[in-house]
Amino acid sequence: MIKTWLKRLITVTAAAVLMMALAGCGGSGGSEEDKSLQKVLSAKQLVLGLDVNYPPMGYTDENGEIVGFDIDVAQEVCDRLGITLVKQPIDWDAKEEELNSGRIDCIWNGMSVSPEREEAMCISKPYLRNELVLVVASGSDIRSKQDIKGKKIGVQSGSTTQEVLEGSELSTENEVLTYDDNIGLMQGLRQGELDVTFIDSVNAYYYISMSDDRFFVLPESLGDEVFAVGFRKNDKALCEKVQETISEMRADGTLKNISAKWFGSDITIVK
Amino acid sequence: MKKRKLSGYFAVQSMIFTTLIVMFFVVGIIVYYSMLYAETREHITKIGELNAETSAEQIDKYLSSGVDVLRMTGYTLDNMIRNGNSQEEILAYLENQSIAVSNITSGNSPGFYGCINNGYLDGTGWVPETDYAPLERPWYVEAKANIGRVSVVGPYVDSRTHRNIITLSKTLCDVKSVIAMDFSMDQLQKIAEDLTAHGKSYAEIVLNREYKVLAHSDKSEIGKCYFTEPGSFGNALIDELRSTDENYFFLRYEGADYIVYTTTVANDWFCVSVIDATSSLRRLKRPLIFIFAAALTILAVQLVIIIRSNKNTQIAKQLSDDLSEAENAISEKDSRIGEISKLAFKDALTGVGSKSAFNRLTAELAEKHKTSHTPTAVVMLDVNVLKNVNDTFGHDAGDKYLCGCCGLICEIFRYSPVFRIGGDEFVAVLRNADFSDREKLLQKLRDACDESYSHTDRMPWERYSIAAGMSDWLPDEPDIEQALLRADKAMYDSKRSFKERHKELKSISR
Repeated sequence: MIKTWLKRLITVTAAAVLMMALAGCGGSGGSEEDKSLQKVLSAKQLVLGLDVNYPPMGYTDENGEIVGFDIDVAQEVCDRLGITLVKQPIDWDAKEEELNSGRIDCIWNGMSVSPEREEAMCISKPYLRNELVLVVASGSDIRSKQDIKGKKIGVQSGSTTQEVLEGSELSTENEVLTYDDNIGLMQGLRQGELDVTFIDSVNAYYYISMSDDRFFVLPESLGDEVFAVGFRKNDKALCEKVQETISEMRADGTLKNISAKWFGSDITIVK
Repeated sequence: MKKRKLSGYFAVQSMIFTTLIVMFFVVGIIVYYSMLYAETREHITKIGELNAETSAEQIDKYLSSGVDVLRMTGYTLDNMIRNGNSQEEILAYLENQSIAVSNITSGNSPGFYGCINNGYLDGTGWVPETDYAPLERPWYVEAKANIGRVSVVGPYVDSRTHRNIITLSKTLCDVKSVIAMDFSMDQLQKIAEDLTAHGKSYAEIVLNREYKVLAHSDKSEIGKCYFTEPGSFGNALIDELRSTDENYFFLRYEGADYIVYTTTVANDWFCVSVIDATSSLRRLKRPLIFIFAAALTILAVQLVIIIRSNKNTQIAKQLSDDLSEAENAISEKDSRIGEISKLAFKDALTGVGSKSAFNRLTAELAEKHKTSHTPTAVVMLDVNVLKNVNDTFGHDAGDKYLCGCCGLICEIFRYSPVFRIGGDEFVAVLRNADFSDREKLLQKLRDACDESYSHTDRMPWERYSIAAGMSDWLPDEPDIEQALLRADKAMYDSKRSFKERHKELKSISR
């Protein structure tokens, strides 16, 4: 009797399993343990890598302090996580190596999202929009992109602007000069070393607004991109936690206030 | 017995088999319906998506018309600034453009104004108050913050026209000058209301970046900020909207199902189309629920049948057990009956054949006699003085006496059946060897009795005395009766002679 019941039980179980399998109720497989968040919380610090000449996102002010929109947001995130923010100046050209060597935990400095970077890193959701613009000095006769022929164009090395410029006909018809940072680039323009700079709008507008000198932004934008925070490819837990905290800041108005402090209004694009 | 067990086993087997087939079909149907459900859901979603895209397109088109006009004007202003045109020239241009834009937009925008080369210029003819600080106005601040892109400010109610308006503004080439235009939201609101009125959607909503309602098919929602309305439909909607990267999502709110489509329009605004999918999804769910219910019912019935068949098997087993018990009882009874019959054909006291057994034998012999005659003799035997022993020494002694006599008879007629046919009467049927020796055996018996009776030292019940008469069954007699009568007569003769020899016995018995 027990045998026949056992048989029945097996049959029913098998049928149920079959049913579930057919209904597609499969479970998800396990994944490798991600200790990135735990590591940062244990160390009680987040090491942020930045190019300190990228106002207003992150730069050294007149008092020698590293400040900026990104720094304020990162500081708030760290405060909420109960850890210290360590600001680590890096060579923008070597940012991926800095990240992968473990010297820094993230690149958080107006980093544009590109397919290559998305492939190489774990990237947060975008938080700001940026355009790639051409800027000329006040006395320039360049009115539009068509006028740029046989000129000296400046661009920051290792930036997405450099990539875009090198991919366009501007680089073949003109002399391209690379600069380590955007402040140097704008100074080069001001001092007449350059006829035109190809630069991130966030940076250019901030610089021009703060400067007493007159510069003109050409009407054409050569590209539209977004800024996001970059983490090591496998540091998903850390990336998600930071993203989650930024979303909270978006909901409670903190992000808006930080944006207003640096831009005059909330221009963040965090959902 | 075995057959019954086997049939029960096959019943269970076939039940399991049937269950498997039923379940296979049920699973098949469920899978089919699940696929159908998914496909129909997808279909509904796609149709909704198409509608939402159309709505977003209309809204975007309306806003874009303003944005495009502003950009075009900005482009000319950029050149005027670069050319070093005077403020008067720029103002004149703005006035001309304002008339044009007012006509193009059917009055939805009165025209342009801005802060150019550090001075406020108004193409619409509006003269600001003396304390008017353009650099502090939202349209200026927002434009500066939005770095070259067209910013959208508002909505707010225009103090002059009392219309619900937004302001579009944008920095010019020098980054410090800003051009702006007011734009009526009435048209946008009308689009939202029309889209809903035509039954394409449940609600059409335009939200700005702060999740403030700019336009809503339900007018009363305008101006609400969904961020600060916990528990509301709007709050549930933006919660979901914020957490998804998809351009549509399913939302369940207060028991109803909605599909929500979001499209980004203008400057990071959200155009949200909400479709009430409750009825269409429920209509889809109903057959699925029915199938599930049917499947469960079938399974339940199967289960009941299995349990009952199991019970029946048990009952059958019980019955067969009972039957075998009954059979055992019957066979036991049979053997007992055999025993009883044995007892019936046996004399209880002496152990020789009873009167019934004798009758049966005589009947059998008579039957056999019809075909062939076997030489047969009968010996009638009567135990003498039994009554005396009984009366004088009690029945126990009488019984002993009777048994002793019987033993003597059996010993003499060793190969012949002996029957007790009365209280003190026995009969022996002699055939074969005993028939041949019949006279000798009869004499042997008489001698033995004489010898036994002569022992006066023995107890009276140990002194055996038997009167015997013998007769042959003659071949022409159909049965043994005549022989018995003759033997009986002979036996009485013998008895009489015994009594005459022992006349003292009469006095003893008295």
